[in-house]
Amino acid sequence: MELLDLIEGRRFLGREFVVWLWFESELSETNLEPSGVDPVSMWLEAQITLVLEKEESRLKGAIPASRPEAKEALRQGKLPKEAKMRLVRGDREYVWTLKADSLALSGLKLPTQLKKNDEKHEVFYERMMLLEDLETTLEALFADFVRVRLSDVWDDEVLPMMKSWAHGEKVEAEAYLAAKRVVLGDRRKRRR
Amino acid sequence: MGALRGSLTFSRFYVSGDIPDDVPGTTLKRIRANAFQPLSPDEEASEGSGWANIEDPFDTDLDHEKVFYNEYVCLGLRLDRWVVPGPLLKAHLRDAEQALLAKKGLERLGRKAKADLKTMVVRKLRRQLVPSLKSYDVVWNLRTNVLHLYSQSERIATLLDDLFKRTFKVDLVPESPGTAAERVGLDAREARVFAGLEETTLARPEDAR
Repeated sequence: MELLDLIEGRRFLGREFVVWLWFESELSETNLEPSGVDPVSMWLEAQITLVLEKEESRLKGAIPASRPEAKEALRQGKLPKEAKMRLVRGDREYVWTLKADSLALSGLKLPTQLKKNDEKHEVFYERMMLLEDLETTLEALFADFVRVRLSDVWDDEVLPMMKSWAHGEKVEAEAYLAAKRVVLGDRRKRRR
Repeated sequence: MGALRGSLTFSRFYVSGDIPDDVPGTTLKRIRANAFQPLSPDEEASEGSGWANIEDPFDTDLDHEKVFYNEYVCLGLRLDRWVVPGPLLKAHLRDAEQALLAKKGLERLGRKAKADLKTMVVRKLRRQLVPSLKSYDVVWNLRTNVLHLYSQSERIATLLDDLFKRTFKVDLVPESPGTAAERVGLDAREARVFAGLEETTLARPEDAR
C-alpha cells in the first residue's frame, strides 16, 4: 500500500482504537492488560468529541464518556475523533488528549519528579523516559487492538459485543476476555 | 510547550532508511550546513528556516554538545518570517506611488511599475522591521528511531520533512493509525485483511432514522 493511502485511507482505525479503549476500559473497570507491558488503569475523562462525517457531538464533564449522550452518539454511527485520557501505572499518572485520526498526543502532563531548577539535562532525560514509557504502553494497546481488529473474532464476537455495549445491553466481561485470548493468548505467552 | 518544559504537544515520526551507525560522528557537519541563516531584506523569500540550538533559537552556531544528548539528537527548527503589517504597507505604497507620479508627471502607473514599486517599498519596510521568530523543538531518539516534533501543524511538519531529509539523508514516516498498524508486523493473512478493511460502525440497522 502506498504511504499516502496507508495514512489517509486508514485514519478511521484511530477512531476505532479510541472506541475500543473506551469499551475495554468500561468493561474491565479501567484495568487494562496490554500485551508485553505492565497492566495499567486507564479511562476517558473531561472531554470527548464524536463525529460522523460533518456531524459532531462534543461532550464535556467529569466522565463524559459515561453519559447517555455519548452512547447515543455511538448508536448514531459516530466515533471518537478526540478524547481526553488518563492513565495510571503504579504511582505514575499521565493525562493527555488523543487525536484519533493521527494518534497524536496534545497537552500531555508527565508525572515528573525533578523540577525545572534541577540539572537541565537530567530534567530532559526524565521527561523523555516518562514519555517513552507512556508511548510503549500505548503502542502495546494499539498492537493488541490491531490484532483483534484483523482477526475473525472481531466480526464474529467483539463487534457484536461493542454494539450491545453501545446500546446499553449487558456484556459479559469474561466472554469478551475469552474472545480476546483466542487472538492474543499465544502472542502474550510468547512475548513473556 | 516543548520537549524541555511544560505539557507536551507533538507529532510523531519514524526515521527510516539508511541511518548511519554513528549519527553524532557523521552528521554534525551536515547539521551545521543546514543551520538557520538570517533573512535578508533584499531577498525575495518572505521566510527562511533552519536548525538552531533547542535551548536558544538565537544560537545557530551548533556544536556536538548543543545537539547530542546521549541517545537523543535535539534541535530547534527555527522559522523566521517577514511580517509587514497590511495597513503600513498600503500607506507607504500610496505615498511612494504619489511621489513617483509627481516625479514623472504621470496620471497612473502601469502594472509592472506598480509591482516594482511594491518590491522596493517592501524591502524598505523590512529594513525597519525585525522578522517574527518561532522555533519548534525536534527530538530524535537514536535508539528507537522515534522522532518528536513539538508542533501539530502540517505546515511545520512539511518544513521539518524537507530540512530533515536534506540534513540526514533519511526518511521521516509520519505516525498515523495506518503506519502504526503496519509497524505491528502483520502476517500474510492480517495484511490481506488490512488491505480490504472497512470502517466499523456501532449503529444497528434499526438505529437508522
